[in-house]
Amino acid sequence: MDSYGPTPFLKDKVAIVTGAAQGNGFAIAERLASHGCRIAAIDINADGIRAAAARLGEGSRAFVADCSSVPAIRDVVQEVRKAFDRIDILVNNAGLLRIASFPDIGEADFDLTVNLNLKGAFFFAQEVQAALPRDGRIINIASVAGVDGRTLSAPYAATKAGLITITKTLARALAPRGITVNAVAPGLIDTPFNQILDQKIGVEKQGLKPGEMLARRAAEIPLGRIGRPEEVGGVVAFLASPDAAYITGETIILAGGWVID
Amino acid sequence: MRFDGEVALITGAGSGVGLAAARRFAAEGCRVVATVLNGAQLPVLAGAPFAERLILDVRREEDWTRVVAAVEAKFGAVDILFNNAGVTIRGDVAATDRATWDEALLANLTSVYLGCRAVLPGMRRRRRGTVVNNASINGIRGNTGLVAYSAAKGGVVAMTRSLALDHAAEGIRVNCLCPAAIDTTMTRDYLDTVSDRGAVEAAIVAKHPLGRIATADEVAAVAVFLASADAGFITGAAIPVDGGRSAR
Repeated sequence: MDSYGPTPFLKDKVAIVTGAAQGNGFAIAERLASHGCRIAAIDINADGIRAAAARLGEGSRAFVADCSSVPAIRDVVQEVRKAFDRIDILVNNAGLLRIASFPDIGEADFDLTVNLNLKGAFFFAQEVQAALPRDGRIINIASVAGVDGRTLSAPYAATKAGLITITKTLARALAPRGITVNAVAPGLIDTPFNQILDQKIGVEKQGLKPGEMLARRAAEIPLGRIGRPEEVGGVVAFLASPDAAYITGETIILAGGWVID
Repeated sequence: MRFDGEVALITGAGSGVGLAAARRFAAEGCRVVATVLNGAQLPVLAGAPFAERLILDVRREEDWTRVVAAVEAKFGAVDILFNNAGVTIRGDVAATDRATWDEALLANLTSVYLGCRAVLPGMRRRRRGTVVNNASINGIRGNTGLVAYSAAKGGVVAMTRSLALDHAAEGIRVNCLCPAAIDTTMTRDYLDTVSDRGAVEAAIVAKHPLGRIATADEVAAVAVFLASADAGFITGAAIPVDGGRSAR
């Protein structure tokens, strides 16, 4: 079951994964669970996260929380600490992108994007850090948008760039305790999130057939395809593994060669 | 195990990161072709679970031609190439004469070019394969007294991106790793040459936020990850393995 070898390298460990009801978050949780990890699966979508936790199997639990609210974050981390004997890994995956072109972005959308993608991730890290052991891990799911601004939403790109910078600062702050902090910057991944973009932008705004916008963008990717959520899970598993113990403060781009030209 | 019989050709497998990588690739299911610079290093490889042990001077095109032909004839393919062999050549520009410069580029950059040139025709035919280059933190960040070495390693990083774009559509991924200080014989031999060893060691450790230098196994593990299916959507990347040193 453990793809690295006979011994599950995360056996008995506990990982918080935010935004775990679907897409990358669920794939990350599923992959960490395959290495023996128990998952504290958090999402604002109550039905979704309960179903997800059930699929993750025994030892994993669902928690419903608004990850853009600092009081809610404090409460849910307390709940997780009561439910589990330890926290080893935090994966800040919850995020949102409000579809609006630059002249049309309102203040409420800007604030919501910042509150979930950036502020929420920061305060999750702050709440969890004291509980992390010497080989603890914080893994932030950023985006290629935070590397090169290639997105329709400027606030989204800014929050992801901010997350990459927070990753570096926290890496330095927590390095003396042996805790590593890294980011993953996915490009175009086959998630419900991108299927919605395909519908709302490709179909409704550009008059394309369903799937056509994603297919056109896939053609721009050097590897010639969009990525799979399982591939995001694979990179997160690596960063969570002892193999990545000497990597900290880094952002691993998985975008099929998208941002190297 | 992340591999199922893939043929992994590893250069500089006689010690340090190369040997650690050869062992890890083998432990995870690869058929490992371990290569060393000269026959004196072959006994090191004896007893390890490698499919083949060969002599390969990475600076010589004819060596690459011979080795890749032999491996493809025997195993059918080179699925993974880990261009690991290299040599740290120190000196500021005044201390780097032309012969030293040429040797640094030959051993650290031209060697990688020759390796890619040797394995890519087969990988392109099969539309499958991956290359991992062992670059260096000095390829992406500045350091003193390493003019030619840094130029060569910076070249490896740039060439990695270019190769990645050239061959992505063929299903071939090319990435590199950028290690900082590693606990290897190369590092220990260098420390043996300095007069104030304790101070030099402390200064090296202080540059790395994690407060220690890397083990060869940790660097090798990143090469294995980049070659694995888990990194299937990663190409053209330069991954620092540096204890946080380059995080800025």
